[in-house]
Amino acid sequence: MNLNHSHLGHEHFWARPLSRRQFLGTTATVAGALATSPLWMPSFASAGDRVASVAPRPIGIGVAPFGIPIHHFPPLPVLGPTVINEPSQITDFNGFVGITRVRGTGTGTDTTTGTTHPVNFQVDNGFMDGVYVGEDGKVHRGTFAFV
Amino acid sequence: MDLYRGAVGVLANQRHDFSPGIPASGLFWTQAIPQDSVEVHFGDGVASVKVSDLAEEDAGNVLNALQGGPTKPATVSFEMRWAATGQPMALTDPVHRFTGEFFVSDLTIQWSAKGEGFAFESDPAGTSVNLRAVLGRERNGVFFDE
Repeated sequence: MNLNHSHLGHEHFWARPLSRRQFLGTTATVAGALATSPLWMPSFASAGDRVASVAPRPIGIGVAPFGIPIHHFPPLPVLGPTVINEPSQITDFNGFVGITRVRGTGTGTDTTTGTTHPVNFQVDNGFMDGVYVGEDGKVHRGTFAFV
Repeated sequence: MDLYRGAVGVLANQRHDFSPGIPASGLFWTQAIPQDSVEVHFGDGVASVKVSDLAEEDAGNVLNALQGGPTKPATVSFEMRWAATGQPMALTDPVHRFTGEFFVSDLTIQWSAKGEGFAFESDPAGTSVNLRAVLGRERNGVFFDE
């Protein structure tokens, strides 16, 4: 796989070998899945956007905040052996990935009174965009947010 | 996505914790989004994610979120932009079995949230403070050995 293409962007990646039959097979189940969808599937999926309909599987156990093991490595601290932690939340994955820890400020509003107050935030967010083996054991294409 | 009154990272200060929850599989705070929400120009080391009104759970704080405690419905919208700060690194982690090319990156975010009786608007993206961001193209799991 050549990783040095300029503008090896989203459109190109998704245009790679995915037969019409595969695509239709992937998308045909969206409507049915929505009826019982958990929050991993957004509510606006019925608008016709292409949204993954088969859940991916998690990476192995990562860290254990408060003694609770989770399938996740935070972007910090770096745990080794390389200079980054696994940025994907999805195993059996091949694609683009981004992750961050970012802080900032903003304004909170009590919408019942209109009262505002300063708020600080920390966000560990990311994305995964590529092919993955879903819970059904089949290969799918999907775009996911880590929120 | 965590909101605090006072210093961040202090559990007693946290007021909101937005995530899609953790299903039985253990998949961690991950939800499907429309394909066109993400744009990557990997050769240029840039990427962006833009989503609106994602349905989330507000667990109040991270401990309650991890314990699967009670939550309130909420929505979040955000726009994030990665921009590489150097050349890509070819990395392989044989312990955690992932490999690929990765940029250390700058990142900006502008976001908002809404819930029952509450709304939040971040300050402009340029005011956010990136502590760590990585953009990559990777393979893991069954694709690791390809």
